Amino acid sequence: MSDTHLPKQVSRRDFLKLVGVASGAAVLAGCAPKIPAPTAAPTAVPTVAPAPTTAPVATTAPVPTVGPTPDANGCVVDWFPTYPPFEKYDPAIEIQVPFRAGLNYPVEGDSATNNPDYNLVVEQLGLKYVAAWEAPNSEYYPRLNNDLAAGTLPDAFRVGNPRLGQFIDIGAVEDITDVFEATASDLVKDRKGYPDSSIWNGVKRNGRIFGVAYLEDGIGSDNLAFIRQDWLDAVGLAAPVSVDDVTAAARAIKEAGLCEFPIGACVAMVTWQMAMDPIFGAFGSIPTWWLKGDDGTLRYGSIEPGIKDGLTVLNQWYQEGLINPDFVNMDESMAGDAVMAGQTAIFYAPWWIGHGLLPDLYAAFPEAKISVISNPAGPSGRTGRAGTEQKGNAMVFRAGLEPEKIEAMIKHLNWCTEVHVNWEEYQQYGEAFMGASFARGYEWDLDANCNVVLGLMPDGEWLYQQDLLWGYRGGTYPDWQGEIFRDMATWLEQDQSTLNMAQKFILGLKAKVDDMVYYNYAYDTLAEVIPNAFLGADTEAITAVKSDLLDLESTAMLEFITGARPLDDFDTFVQEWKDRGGDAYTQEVNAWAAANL
Amino acid sequence: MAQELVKQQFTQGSSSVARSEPEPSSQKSQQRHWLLYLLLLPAAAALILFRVYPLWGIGIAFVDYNPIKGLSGSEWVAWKNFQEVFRRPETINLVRNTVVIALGKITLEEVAGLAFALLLYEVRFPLYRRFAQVVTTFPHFFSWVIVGTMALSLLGATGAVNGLFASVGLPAVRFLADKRVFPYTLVLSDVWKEFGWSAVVYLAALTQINPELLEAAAVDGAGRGGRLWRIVLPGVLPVFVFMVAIGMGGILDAGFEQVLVLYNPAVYSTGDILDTYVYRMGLVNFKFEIATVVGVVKAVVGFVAIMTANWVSGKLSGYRMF
Repeated sequence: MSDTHLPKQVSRRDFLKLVGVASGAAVLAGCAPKIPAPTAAPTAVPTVAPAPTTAPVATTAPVPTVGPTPDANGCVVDWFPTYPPFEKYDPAIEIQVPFRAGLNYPVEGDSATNNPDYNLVVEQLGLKYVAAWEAPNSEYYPRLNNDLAAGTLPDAFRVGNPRLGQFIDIGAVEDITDVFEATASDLVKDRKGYPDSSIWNGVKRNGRIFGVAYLEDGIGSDNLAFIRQDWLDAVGLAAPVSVDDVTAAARAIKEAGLCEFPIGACVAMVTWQMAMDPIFGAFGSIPTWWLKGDDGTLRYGSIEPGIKDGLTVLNQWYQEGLINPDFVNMDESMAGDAVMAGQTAIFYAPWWIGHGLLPDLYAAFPEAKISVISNPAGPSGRTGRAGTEQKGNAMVFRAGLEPEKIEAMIKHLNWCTEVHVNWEEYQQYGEAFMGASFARGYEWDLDANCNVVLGLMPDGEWLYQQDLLWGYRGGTYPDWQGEIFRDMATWLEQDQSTLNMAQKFILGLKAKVDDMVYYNYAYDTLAEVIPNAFLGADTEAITAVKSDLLDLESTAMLEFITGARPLDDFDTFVQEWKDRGGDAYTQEVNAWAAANL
Repeated sequence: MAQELVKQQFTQGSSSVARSEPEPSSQKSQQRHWLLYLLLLPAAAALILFRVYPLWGIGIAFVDYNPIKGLSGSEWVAWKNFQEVFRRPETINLVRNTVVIALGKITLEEVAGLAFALLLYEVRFPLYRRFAQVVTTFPHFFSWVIVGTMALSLLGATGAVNGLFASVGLPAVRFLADKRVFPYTLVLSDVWKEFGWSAVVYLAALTQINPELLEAAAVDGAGRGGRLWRIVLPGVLPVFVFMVAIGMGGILDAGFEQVLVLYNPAVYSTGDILDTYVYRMGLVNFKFEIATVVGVVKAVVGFVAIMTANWVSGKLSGYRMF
């Protein structure tokens, strides 16, 4: 290209200068230090959080609202929350943790680092959790794996199985045995069953622990049977007791034109809601579970004869159109949406749908009535459900993290557990809302007549807690929910005039009372649980085959249900499973069983 | 990427796609055009930084990778990871699925693009032609997350398409749940999304056909079909061959985003491709070595394929990328 082709307005010298500057900038940019991958939200950068104001930022009504001082309307409440003593960190300690993206902050001005839950921790404890990154739940593990590969793990984060074992085995997380034993309170150790409870199995290696185990809820994944009672009454049937009764009820509801696909289902067979484990349980087995035989050996549930019987039932339901043919493309949330949209009559879900799916269903369909019924019995008359795996997840700390930070976080755990267990004494009624701070404008508010009413109730405020580590999830243990519901049940038995405004308000919430009823039902029917007997960590040999075997199994199950593969082929599937590493898997599991059971 | 560059070159009416005998560059030419070479610096720097430098990560395929110890600290295992990948029974399935789906997409997309371009070429109303072109090009710019959601809704067992089938008495088709049908669903939905964009190249090629040839043929009595068969198609055929040949360079790219959005375990046997397998192994199941091995194999095969495609295209159509 010659000068004659350049626009006459730009001289060659000017053009050279421009090119030089552009090239230099590009080279400098290319030589810049590596930065973490950009996060979903523009605020999610691992930098120092903005300095807090000396007082917590007001996020709700402009005047103090709890305590004897009347608010702007002259209203006074009669509960006075207090907190256990804590030696506040000053200056505040910063801890980098993953934040969850896409949360709902209904109060204007609130954000991940400015909301009552967050501000409470800063104000009371002097702990500032800053975001390593923000990501939606589905992106959580891919982001963590990215961090692992890049060497930029957050200070603390939660990990479930089987990744927990992988993180421990490669040395990515810190051995916290000494810090935990020196710092954790007796209450924490008692509630979390340290050191012998099975929830610690995943974090233990040779007697040392590599994280703080937690189990969200001892029965949080126990699936109960729910039915649209109004539709059942419309077709004139009694509550189904057996698998055949369920089929009959579903047929009747479909034929009456009340519901096109009466039985709720999603692509996963054993999962946290809309599962099918009670169907398989009726025949004595649970997919993906390890079942203990009479001889003490463990057998893989997915290849047991009972599974074929369960698949036969599901295939029949699929062929008759009793379950949505699109269930293979539906995850748990999508299947739950069908319940909320009034498109499901019978479904299997955990106790917490009381505040999960059902409020939206009742809001859209006030005539809907949901009853909890017994799980369906098989030909032998037995019922069964998977129950909640008593294999804990863990809050782990990256290798090399300063012991002072780990100590600070365990002290935070002590404080949270104290508040939770003695919530009535401290009048911390947020513990009935999964550990929320119970701030005005959130869980509750006062109307013009000084009645306690529902606040903005952000959808999933409990998720805020995950960013603060020791709220819901990190601080939990098997009986975490049960303690609260049993205390609430005593309120019902005492003279109601002795209850304070907050207690009456909570008992007046249908969702809360439903939760309590369903939880207690699940608790009272624990005997039908078919537990997963393998509670050990996944060894390297198991990890080498497990994911491929799960792929094989999930494909086969769906093919059997949809009829793409004949049920007579079940034995072939069993042999395939064994040949593709199932035998080695079984050997590893039974080696653990021999040593531990 | 190569195809996009070619599209730009064709749409600019430029014949700057390299013919079989490129102009040789001389030292004198380089001195004269040093400004241009200077302008290349930022792009070269980006290429080196983001494409060449990360190649060291291929080493992960040859070690027992520990992310904490890093590549240099991980134990060298030579070909063990490759043996494991090729030993797995699903590897052949993955390669087969990938090739079949990719082949289907490449050929059908170009055929559909050419056919649509020929149809548009015959449209005499410029406004309508432009409107049709814009509307059919739109889906190209949608992410597969959006198109996939539409597909799930339209093609599901209770979707609009099966509703239409039911209304005329046809049985429902499990577009997304039947492993025999799923590959066709992938190919056809991708063709729907991309045929408008593919047509852009062919439209540009059609405008380069000398109108005098068409007039002369009309004078000689050739009808529309005759002109199409004897003048238009031969004129655009080299471009078609070139596009298909270059597309073959991506024979192992079957469309990760699309498959990830649409597939489910029921269709793994015919719908799971190398890229989705790499995603599950690497980012979901933590097996970085397996994911890297598959990526290396893909890169090697892709390199051989594109070199071969370039040579074949040069022989058949006279057009080459390089």
